[in-house]
Amino acid sequence: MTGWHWRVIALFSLVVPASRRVAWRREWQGELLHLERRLRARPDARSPHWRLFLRSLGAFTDASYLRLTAGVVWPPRILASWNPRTIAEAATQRLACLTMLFLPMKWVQSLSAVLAVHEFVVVLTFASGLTALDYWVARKFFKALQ
Amino acid sequence: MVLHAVSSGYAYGFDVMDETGLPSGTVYPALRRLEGLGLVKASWEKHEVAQKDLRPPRRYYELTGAGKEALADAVKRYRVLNRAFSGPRLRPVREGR
Repeated sequence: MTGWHWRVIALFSLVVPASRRVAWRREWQGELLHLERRLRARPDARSPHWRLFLRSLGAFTDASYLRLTAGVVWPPRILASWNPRTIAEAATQRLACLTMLFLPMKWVQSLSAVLAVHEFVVVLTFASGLTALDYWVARKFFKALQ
Repeated sequence: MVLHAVSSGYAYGFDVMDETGLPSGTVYPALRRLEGLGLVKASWEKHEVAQKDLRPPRRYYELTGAGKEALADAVKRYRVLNRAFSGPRLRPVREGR
């Protein structure tokens, strides 16, 4: 399995409640692999990798929906008080997420199977910068969602 | 739209997307919600079928009895709305005229 869409799914699976994570990942993998094959069979298909990547991005909304409906207050740290320490934590998590994107796929999958760190993916979504403003936007977004 | 697509035989999430034109970030939460409401039922594709194609099994969705009723209601409501909007249109009131 090569391609950014597989990495995206492995990372976003961190948001899904642990009890549903395996089934969730299997469902997305099954659909993406099916689409990948279908696109590969069509020589006229335009930019298949880009299409697969775009499709995989929707997994974040799906994962967030499952997380929010599981009744878990999420993400606890972003909703907590806003101070230099929490900002520093968020920045570290963002860096960790970005690092995960470049790790070998096997490592990413085994990490996402073991970890229950929900902030990772929240953070990835807002990985536009390691700034306080970015953090503030994430905080507002999740407050609005809840 | 999602219920209609599922009832038309587009049982898989990505097929529903292709049929409705909705993005994946909309279709999947909608399917989860419909599943939670008991309007659709999800099952895994038979392992042998997937194995034959050398891929993981896909999860398919089908309408429940309640889902069929909800769809019939929605279609009826849509028809009423369609009739209301396709009739003679009232001229919008513009202020300052």
